[in-house]
Amino acid sequence: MRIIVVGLNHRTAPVEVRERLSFTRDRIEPAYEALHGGPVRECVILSTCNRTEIYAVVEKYHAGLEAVKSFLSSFHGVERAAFEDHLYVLSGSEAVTHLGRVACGLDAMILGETQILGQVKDAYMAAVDCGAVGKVLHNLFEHSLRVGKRAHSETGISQNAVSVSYAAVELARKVFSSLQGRKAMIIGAGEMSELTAQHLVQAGVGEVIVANRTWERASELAARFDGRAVPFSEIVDWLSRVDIVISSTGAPHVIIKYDAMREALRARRFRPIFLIDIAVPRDIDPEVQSLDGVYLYDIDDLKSVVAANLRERQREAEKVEEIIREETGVFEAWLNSLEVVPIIRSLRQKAEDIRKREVQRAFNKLPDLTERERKVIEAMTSLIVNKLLNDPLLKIKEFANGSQGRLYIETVSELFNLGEREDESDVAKVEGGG
Amino acid sequence: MGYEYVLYGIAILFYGAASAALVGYVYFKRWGQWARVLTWAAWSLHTVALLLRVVETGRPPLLYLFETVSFFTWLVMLNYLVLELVLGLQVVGVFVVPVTALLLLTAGTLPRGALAAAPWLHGSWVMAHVSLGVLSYGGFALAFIAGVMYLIQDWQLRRKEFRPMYYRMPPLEVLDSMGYYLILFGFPLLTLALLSGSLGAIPVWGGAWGTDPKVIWSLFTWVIYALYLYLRLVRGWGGRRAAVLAVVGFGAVLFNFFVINLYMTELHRYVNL
Repeated sequence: MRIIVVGLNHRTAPVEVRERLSFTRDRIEPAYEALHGGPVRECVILSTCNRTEIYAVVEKYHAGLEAVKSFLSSFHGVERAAFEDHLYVLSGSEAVTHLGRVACGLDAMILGETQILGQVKDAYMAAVDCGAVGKVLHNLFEHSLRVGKRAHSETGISQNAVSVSYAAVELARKVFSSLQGRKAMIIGAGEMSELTAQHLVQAGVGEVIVANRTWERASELAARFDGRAVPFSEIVDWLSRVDIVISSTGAPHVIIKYDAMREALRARRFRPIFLIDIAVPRDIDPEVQSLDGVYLYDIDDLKSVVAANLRERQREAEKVEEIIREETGVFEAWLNSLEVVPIIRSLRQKAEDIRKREVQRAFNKLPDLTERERKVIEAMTSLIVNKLLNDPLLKIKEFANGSQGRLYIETVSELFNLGEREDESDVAKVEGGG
Repeated sequence: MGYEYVLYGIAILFYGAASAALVGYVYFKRWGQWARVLTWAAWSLHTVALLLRVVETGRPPLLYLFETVSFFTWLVMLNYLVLELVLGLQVVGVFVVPVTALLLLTAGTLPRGALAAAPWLHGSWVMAHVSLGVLSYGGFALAFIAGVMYLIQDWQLRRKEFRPMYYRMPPLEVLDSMGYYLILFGFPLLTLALLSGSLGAIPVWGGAWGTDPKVIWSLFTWVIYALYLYLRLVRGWGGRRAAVLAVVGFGAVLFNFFVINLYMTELHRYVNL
């Protein structure tokens, strides 16, 4: 039994290949029907715009891999040659670690993004609905969801905005102790300012004031935020009353001038004001930055904040890797214990079979034994078998939890020639568990 | 005395280690846990050392310069630890802990002479005067640190240079009001310290104390903080200007403590210097 992952992502394959191998929601059921069964005992298909991955529990590595690859080819009607070079195949603990990294967003296009965790969960749920998940993948996916949650709560991997509009909100948070009840003014009702305003309102900004050249658009946007539209000519008056200004007009000249800002500041008694200028050419005279209490950011500044935030996430990634290592160890210990139970059972069974057979042979050769003598021989042979097996059985349990657990289990299985029939009972067990 | 030196030595080592961990915390958030453990360990040792001194002498540890510095840094650390527990502002420790380590080390290695304590030094007026003074300095010290942090963060926000420190800092407004409340706390204490000092000095020194450099400098310090509160409450100052003033004010306090006490004043000398 082996866990494998076969897949491709934004790094290994161009979009032309990814789109041909992606699974849409409405075709997921037939996909599971085609993939599940045969050498593929359990499977989960994870398909997002950046990746298509198939997690599978297979009996034999090569047969399983073949089955998954030919499924990909026949289901999508794509020749294997067209995608095989872009595939990566991982198995065992590497596959477990990989899913952990995917769930945490370490493998994502935007480092530490949180959306993928939901996508992993959805993919898992869909596989459960289609009956493709057994005991092993059930535990594997629960494990990865736990890893993802831990990464987001215990590290800063998903902290600090990596989009320009959200970076603006975070900067505002570095100035104001709270955004609760603050006033924001939007000048020029573009898409970008709308998005930023939306983030601000979510963060607690109480009142939104919209100024736009066309009155209609201003009142429309104001209505969306339960705010207030004001004429363009009143902008300067409002500077003394709002805490945050987002400006993105198409005006060819400066709208907020240095002198106006200085006047406004005096009226505000130097309470800080936070200005975001995402217009090109710029709407706010950059000179205002020299005034006390003015924090002004243009589009390039915001982009450099995003770059800095990404570097900060990079540093946190190390800690996430540590969590993944830790949790992978826990999962593997469980996986090994799963395999050790049938091994122990069949080792006992084999010894008992041999004992019974040989005792019967001896009895056949010695027909004159009394009932008491027979009992003594039975008891003695049982004792020999049990005492002989006692240490190895204890040791197997112990080794199974070690880092080399798999190797020991395989060795014991080979040594006592337990392999073939073990696999049968294992299948029954795993499928019964799902 | 021997064991006390050993305790202080270990405490300073721990403060040093905690400082290093706190600097590490700026770059790697998880170092914060270690920093926290080391800081508490250092402060606990510090507490034991101070308690031993109090039990041994049966008076507040405010007679010798070293004691006073030790008590003062202990107090600042206490304030910081409370601040950290309540507001989670471990980043304040990045400034407080190294300064504590340095102050203790400096005060510990200053030259010592032998001088008998004058009997008047044990009077209750003197003790009230010194305790109030040290308490107010404790508030000013943290206000100073809030001011420095404000200036650093303001600089980063204006220059748009986002160093690792940027991510650890609280919002500017928090630092601003932190400085304000600390000075609001320290100022009345300083006022009372000056009043109790003058009242206590009249019977001992007569009129001569009015020209003592320490007295003059302390008044100057008082004026700086009075100005801070005036500008803030009446003129609506805040932000960067207030932060600069808080830094300047504590500069005056430090000058008073280390320069005037040691080299300029005759009347206000600590006993063993």
